[in-house]
Amino acid sequence: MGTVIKLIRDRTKLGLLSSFSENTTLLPLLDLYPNAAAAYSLRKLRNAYSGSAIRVRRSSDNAVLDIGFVDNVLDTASLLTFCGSGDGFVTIWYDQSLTGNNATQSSASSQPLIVEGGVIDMINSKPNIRLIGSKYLILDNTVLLSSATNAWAFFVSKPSNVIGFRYIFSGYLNLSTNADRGFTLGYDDTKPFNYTVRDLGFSSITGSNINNQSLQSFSADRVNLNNYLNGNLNNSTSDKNSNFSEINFNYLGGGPARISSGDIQELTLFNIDQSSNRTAIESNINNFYAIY
Amino acid sequence: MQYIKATKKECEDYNSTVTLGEKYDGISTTQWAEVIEIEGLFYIPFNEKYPSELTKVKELPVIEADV
Repeated sequence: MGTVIKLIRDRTKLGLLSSFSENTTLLPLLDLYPNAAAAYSLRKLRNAYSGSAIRVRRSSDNAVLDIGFVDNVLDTASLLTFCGSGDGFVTIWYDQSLTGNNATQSSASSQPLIVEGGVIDMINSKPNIRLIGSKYLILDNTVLLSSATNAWAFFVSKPSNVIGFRYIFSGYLNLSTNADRGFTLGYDDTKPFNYTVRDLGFSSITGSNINNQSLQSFSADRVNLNNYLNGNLNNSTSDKNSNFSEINFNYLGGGPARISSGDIQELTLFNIDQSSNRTAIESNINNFYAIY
Repeated sequence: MQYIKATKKECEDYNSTVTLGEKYDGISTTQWAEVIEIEGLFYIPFNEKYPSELTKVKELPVIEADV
């Protein structure tokens, strides 16, 4: 009997060590790199965050439920139990930063899908929010990323190969006319997945990277735009005549009357220069999503 | 997804019909859909549970825009 107990104790100790080791490489992103301007994810990004990941409406009776985390990842068991054999739609994607700037959608037809027919939408074995077609989420408040201090975005998505103008996320200075682009990642047939801030822009995802999950990092200051794809510099541009001081960010997806084109699993925005942290932030994200 | 193409009033009425029928929670989900205006024409997503004789289109017109 004593031997059995000792074995169990040893296994427990090994388990704790193993768990500690894993957790060291998967420390929540915002505990390592705090003060994000906004942060949306289906994993927990901050230890002290006590809220839920998403609010979900189920198709069977339109009831809603907040879905939180278990072991720092989305509580998929509760999500499946709630949705049953029907569909689940995201009505709120909670902001895990200290800002509390949630992304919401109160119109049922525009709410993005996370469960279809009792099956959670997954990319690379991780839950995913499908922002396709007329689906989009609206930030409670426009995020104003200051280009003077260098705006940064890190996101995990799977851009879809579609025809015509499509958007993964978008922002405009003038929301009533969708004029003066802010931080926008969109697609058209001649400019595949073009990043734009005001009139600066470049293609970011082309060829085999379309229709595949990727981690992208993006930085902008008043002169330079840089894009990193799966850890490597992918494209950049500069215009010394650019004089925008703030970068607006409003929608996950295309927004009203526009078409969305991307599955999204995580998006974190910073108003702080992350040049020296970029590699470590990308490693933290990739350690979880195993993209490359 | 199909869209109804109609007058603004007809689109608003269709939204009211679906919204009332679906009994949303009224907090995080308040309606079926926003009426979409594109180049002076009005559209609303069609819900198969709520038939309509109004004109339907398979897709919204693409906005020549600004990616």
